[in-house]
Amino acid sequence: MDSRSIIAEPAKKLNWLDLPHDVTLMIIGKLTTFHILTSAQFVCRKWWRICMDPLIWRTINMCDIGIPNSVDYKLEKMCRHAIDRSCGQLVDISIEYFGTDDLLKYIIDSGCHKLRRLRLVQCFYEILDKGLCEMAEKLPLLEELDITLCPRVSSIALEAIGRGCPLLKSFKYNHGGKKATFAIAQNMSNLRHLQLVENRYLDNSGLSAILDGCPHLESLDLRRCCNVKLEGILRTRCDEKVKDMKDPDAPLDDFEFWGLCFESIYDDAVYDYLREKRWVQEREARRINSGSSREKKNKAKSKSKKKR
Amino acid sequence: MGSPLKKIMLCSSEKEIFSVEEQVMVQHSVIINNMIEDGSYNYEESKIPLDCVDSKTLKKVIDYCTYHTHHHNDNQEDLEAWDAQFLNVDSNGLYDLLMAANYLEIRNLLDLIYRTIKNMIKGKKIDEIRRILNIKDHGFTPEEEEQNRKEYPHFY
Repeated sequence: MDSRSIIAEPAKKLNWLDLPHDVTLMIIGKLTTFHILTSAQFVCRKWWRICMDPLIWRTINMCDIGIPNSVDYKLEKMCRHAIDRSCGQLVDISIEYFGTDDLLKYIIDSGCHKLRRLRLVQCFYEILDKGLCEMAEKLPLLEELDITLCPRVSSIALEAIGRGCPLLKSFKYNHGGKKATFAIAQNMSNLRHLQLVENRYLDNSGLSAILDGCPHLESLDLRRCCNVKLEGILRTRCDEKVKDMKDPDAPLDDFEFWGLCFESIYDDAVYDYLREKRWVQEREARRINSGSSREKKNKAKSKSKKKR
Repeated sequence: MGSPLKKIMLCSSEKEIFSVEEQVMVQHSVIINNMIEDGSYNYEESKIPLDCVDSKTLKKVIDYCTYHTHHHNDNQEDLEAWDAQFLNVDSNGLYDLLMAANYLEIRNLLDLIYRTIKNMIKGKKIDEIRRILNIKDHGFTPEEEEQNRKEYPHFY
């Protein structure tokens, strides 16, 4: 082929809008929720219509958006909008930073009882036991749960999840709190995969309890659980029972939040998030105040008019 | 599963005939696999007409299926490098391949193309996506377009 034929190529009339519906659906379906809501749906009317299809919203992925965007673009509002569009078909949702108990309640109240996968990542202070306990009762199909860096979630929530979600196969509870191990061992007997990175409360007796309570375990990730000493019988039991074992001293490089395992970086991240959030809330409050004061003035005006 | 030596004939939109190892196409294309399995293909006479696939695209599709049949044991990195080179085409070429892969139901090629398109438009602004996909008429009324622009001004 000479260069002329390459140059002549664009003359061919191809229209990406002529693609079959299901092909376009697949293309849009690969994008993140944030990208669909802020850009893809506005590309053209055809895409707009496809973006109303509940099929697109079976998966809602609102991770990796970064702190500035997380506070700036009202992600919680955006997420609620995406949940509405799923019309109860939601099966997989990932939330980073902005998760709150209210949002969990919203998922349930919107009739999304088919949820199979839930990821709550770095929702530092607004996901509490209460929200998760209420949610767990309504999610009988949940198979995968990831609670990473949500420090207010305790063993109380884990017990409720164990009771409410009998199909739970994969559980990640990284940077988790006290008593978690016994809650897992006693309530999550169907687990196949368990990740407990940086759980400083886990010790050898806790690990024993998990091996007893979760007989189907295939993978177990105990990186940076510094109070576990894998020796003797415990070592042999782990090696025999668990196919894919990550020891406390194994390298963290493939763990997405490895940086946050170091206290100073973690504190900085929390601080950054809270500061940004406070700043946006103050700005929002100012906006509302100025709005309502204007309203008051208007009312006052109309009243004074009436008097006259 | 077809025997490795048998060949089947594929006919492009320009009526050019391509002879391919049956196993190569059966392994990758759901449609051709179904045709062979239900016996509707006659080895003496049949040519599978692919009216919506031109010769250039069909040749590429056959290259893809042949390579992946014979190299499926290669390591992942080498395969990914080959795939990236294979899809180093302009947006017209990509569109043709997408239509062909969709028609023949070649799932792994489709998935590869979807991922490539995703990377082309990921994180791009709305006007850029329109330019990349050559969308001239977005179909919104001027009022709607203005409303959308107001809602997310940073994304245009």
